[in-house]
Amino acid sequence: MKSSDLFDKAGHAESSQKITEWRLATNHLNLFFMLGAGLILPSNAFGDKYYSDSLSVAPGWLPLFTGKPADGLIEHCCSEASHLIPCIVVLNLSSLSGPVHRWAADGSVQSEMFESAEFDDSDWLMLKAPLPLGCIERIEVRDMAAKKALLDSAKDLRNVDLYGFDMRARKPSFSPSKERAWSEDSTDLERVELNMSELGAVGAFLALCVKLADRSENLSYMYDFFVGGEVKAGIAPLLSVIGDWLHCGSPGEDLNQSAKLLWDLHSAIQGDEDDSLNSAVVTYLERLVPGMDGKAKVATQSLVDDLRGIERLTEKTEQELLAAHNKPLSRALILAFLHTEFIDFLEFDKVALGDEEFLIAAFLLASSQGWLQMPEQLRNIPGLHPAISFKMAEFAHRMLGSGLDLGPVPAFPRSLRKLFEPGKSGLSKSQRQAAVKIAKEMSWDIIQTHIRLPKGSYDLQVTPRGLHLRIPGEADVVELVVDGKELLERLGSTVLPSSLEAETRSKLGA
Amino acid sequence: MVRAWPLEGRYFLTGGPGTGKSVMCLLRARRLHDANKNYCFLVFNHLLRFASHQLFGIDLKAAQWQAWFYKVFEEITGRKVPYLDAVAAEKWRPVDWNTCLDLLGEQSSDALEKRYKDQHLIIDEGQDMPPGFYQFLNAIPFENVFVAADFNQAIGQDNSSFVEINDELNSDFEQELKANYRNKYGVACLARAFLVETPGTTPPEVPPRPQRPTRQPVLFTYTKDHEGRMFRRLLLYAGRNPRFLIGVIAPNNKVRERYLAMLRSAENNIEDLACPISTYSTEERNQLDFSEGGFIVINAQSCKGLEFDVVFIADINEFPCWRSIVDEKKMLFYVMTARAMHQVFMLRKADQKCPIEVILPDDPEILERLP
Repeated sequence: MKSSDLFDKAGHAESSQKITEWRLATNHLNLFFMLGAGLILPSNAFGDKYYSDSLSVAPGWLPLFTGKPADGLIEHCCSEASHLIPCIVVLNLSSLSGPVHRWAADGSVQSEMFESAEFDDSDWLMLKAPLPLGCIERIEVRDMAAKKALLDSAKDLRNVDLYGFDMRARKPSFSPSKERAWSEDSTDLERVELNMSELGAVGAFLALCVKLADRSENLSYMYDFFVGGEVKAGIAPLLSVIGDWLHCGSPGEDLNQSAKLLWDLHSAIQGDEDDSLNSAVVTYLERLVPGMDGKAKVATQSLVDDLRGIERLTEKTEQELLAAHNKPLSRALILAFLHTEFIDFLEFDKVALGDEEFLIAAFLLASSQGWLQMPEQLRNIPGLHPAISFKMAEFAHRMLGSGLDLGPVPAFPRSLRKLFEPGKSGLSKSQRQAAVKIAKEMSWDIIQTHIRLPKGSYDLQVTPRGLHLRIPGEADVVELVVDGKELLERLGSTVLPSSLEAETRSKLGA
Repeated sequence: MVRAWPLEGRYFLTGGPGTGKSVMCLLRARRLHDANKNYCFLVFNHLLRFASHQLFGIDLKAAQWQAWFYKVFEEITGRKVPYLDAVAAEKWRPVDWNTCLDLLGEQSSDALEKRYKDQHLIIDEGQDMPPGFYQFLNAIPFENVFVAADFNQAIGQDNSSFVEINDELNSDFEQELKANYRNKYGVACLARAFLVETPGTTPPEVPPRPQRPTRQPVLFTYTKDHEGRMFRRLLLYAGRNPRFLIGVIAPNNKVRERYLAMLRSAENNIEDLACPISTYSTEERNQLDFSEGGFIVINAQSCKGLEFDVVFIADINEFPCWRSIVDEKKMLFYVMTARAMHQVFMLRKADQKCPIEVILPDDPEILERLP
């Protein structure tokens, strides 16, 4: 045996003492809600869709254990309805650091720094929620029948995708601890409230940005800015509002009039009971009109009339509605009202709109609909879900001032525009193949077949079956040429089917 | 809870429009399909069967309930279904259920049980099948039956009441769905204005009132001179909402055909507008697509069970209404308006009588009148 082997084993043994796997006891319906929302959530974030589980002990917190569940906990997790399937979500918290609480078996709660704390088997870890879904190491159920029932049940729900999660039937995980009994007695931890619609808006906006990035170089640049977090100079004031919101939770001071209006509209939508874009925006603007004068009053009233007309039977076309307004915020509002569905919005190509207008409209739509409404085609973009989940969790902890560091940000998917960026000699072979596949599946006429022939004269025959070109020997080169410019243009205003998007990204090594 | 009901057994699900009864039926069909069970999804009319096929996928084993019943009856008895004489001047002849049951009684019960023991039935809009049909199912007996019904939507002839179904079904589990997942606030309020409460179903909850209700239902009155503009507005509305499935519900075939022709003609006159416009008729039924946006023009009697983003109720002047049929018409308007998720428009010709006016709500918060 080499000395280095001994050293490695000893080192490994030492590091394994640190617990990295923590467990959350819940039931399948709560689990589905969390997967749909994109976050591991506390009990008070479920609204009326919550079924009692371990989370009920401390609203705003995630109570996690290691080893066996407290005696009676599994029964508690399925106590509200006979069809609930108990599950244990195993979390890997190796990247986590910051302040947490230890909830000891005697009921005492003590503050610790997670990275330096040492926990006993009977200790529970109390974390401020939420956590990103990327922390999920695996999902455990009691037996194969429960696993099948859970998978069957998930098939009924569009926004729950268990693909990619390690699901195991593991009976021992459900046998109760002898050292600790489940008790719903208060832990004295302060109740913490999450602003779920704000978190959903963050997720939805970033998801829309991924696709908007395919539209132009500038939008691709803005995507990097929004997901990256670096402050970039020279950004339009309205976009700065969005950037500051994403990175700091609210815009900076000294906003100009339009920027302030944009932020107020976002706040109005967030404050609306059902986050209705139409209701909140029109109500807010209607209230502004009487206090205005001159041109601003006329323009705002005209905007209100057009926004109201969109949901009625106005005789104006989309083009006429957009042409009637020239300010970016007004045009963005018209666009958002015209296309309230995410995919409709992303595929809008009837009128040339500015990049800023698209981003503002995306911000307003995201504010009103959130990540939960995100259609599968966007949700399923490879790599997007974990990155969005992380950003929403990070945003939540920033807002809460929890001090928790969730670890490194997962990479956001690159835009298709970037993936199809040509090299010095044009598109690479894999880019060409991917483009051809897209063109065929989407029936886009962006491919030409080029045949290079040696000099000579060739026999061209027209027959009832078509045109025949006879050449002696073999054609020199037959190649498919993709119109790269047209490809990017079409990608910019098309949301590809999930399978094609995934295949394309896989071909391009993303 | 309903989704977790076992595949075997008898179940009775009630609930108002938009509470998810049909979704539960389709999910159950999916489960039975995945488990390789022998099942049949029975629906009230052919249009609903067609729509269910598109929502589920081509594999759905579905049938219009009468077609299924005639086939099964003949299989069992070797005879055609017996009918009673037509009532008064009506052409329609009701099934003679008593004779059906007598003929069924002559069959070997062992053979029947063996034959249908493993058959599962899912029945949507169960209130519209007659009581005799449930007696027939119980007499065979079918052991695995799932019935979804709403007794406030009984607009056909010869319906079953809650008690009649319940007595025959003798269900293992019964559940009432109350949350309205389909209608936005404005649509739900309008539908509620037409509600005629019938025992057996609690009407669905009206969603909470938003700060400022949007997409308010509108009664739009148009003059003969503005007819062309009105159809143009409809088309432009569809153009602005290309993914919306828009139901145009007509009081009769004449109006259905007129709207179809006018919409198609108006579409040709609007540049850059490609809006699918289809109808349910013998010639065009295969062109219907419930998965894409566009107009579907149908008759009022065919709208049951369907769901649209937006509903236009065409030429409401043409709906007859007199004192003795007020409740019947209210129920019909309840069903038609509740088909819409986002918005309802009613269209009325100016300068013509409108008998149905008596059942329309006066409150402009519920139904705004334009111009």
